[in-house]
Amino acid sequence: MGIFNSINISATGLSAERLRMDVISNNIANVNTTRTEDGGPFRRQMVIFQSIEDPKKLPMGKQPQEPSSGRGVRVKSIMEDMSPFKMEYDPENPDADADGYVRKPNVTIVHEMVDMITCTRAYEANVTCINSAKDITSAALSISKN
Amino acid sequence: MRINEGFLHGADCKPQKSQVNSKEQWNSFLDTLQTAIEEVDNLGKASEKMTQDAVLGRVENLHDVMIAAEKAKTAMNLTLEVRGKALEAYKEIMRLNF
Repeated sequence: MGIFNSINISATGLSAERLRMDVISNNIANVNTTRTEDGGPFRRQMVIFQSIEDPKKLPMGKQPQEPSSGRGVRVKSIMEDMSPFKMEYDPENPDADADGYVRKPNVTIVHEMVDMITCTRAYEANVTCINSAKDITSAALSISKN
Repeated sequence: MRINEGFLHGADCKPQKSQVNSKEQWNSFLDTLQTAIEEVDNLGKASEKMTQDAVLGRVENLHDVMIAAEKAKTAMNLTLEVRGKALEAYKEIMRLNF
């Protein structure tokens, strides 16, 4: 239904931000993880967002009959941060190498906390959007009341 | 003569045509109403199912539940508004004095 378009679009934003929050939580949970199934320490993960285009959209250069918005956002993939691991001197650790250094995940906790704040705010922005869309429909329904 | 004929022909034809048209229009209006009400019902059922799933802990996104409920509510309000308008028009006609 057309009247729920903006709500549906904001819902995709909510789902995407929630998944991002999951990934950030996973990064924070694994801040000290030195072993993974692939071997080596945990690598920081990042979500890649992609916009969902209107299926009726024409290829570039052609003007559509009716202008239309996109259909929201989706998480295209979760990629790994390939920046180098942190090296920590800890000879007693079973995962230490010959020189006594342990490779720690490339997760910076401050970084993740800031990402978490932006994620929360983005989620709130989408909720505000939904509430506004709701207010607009209620306002339309109140036309000619009284 | 020709003009008269044409006029008569037109006068003959037009009321019948408009009768059929108004009947068709009435039927298509009823169909539209039926579909709209079914859609509202479906939204209500979807919301109910979502709420059940949420209570049973089977829902991944909590906001989907709230959005489904909100959609059902908005659709129901719209239906009530349309019903109110129809009843208002009916009452207005009943108030006519001949």
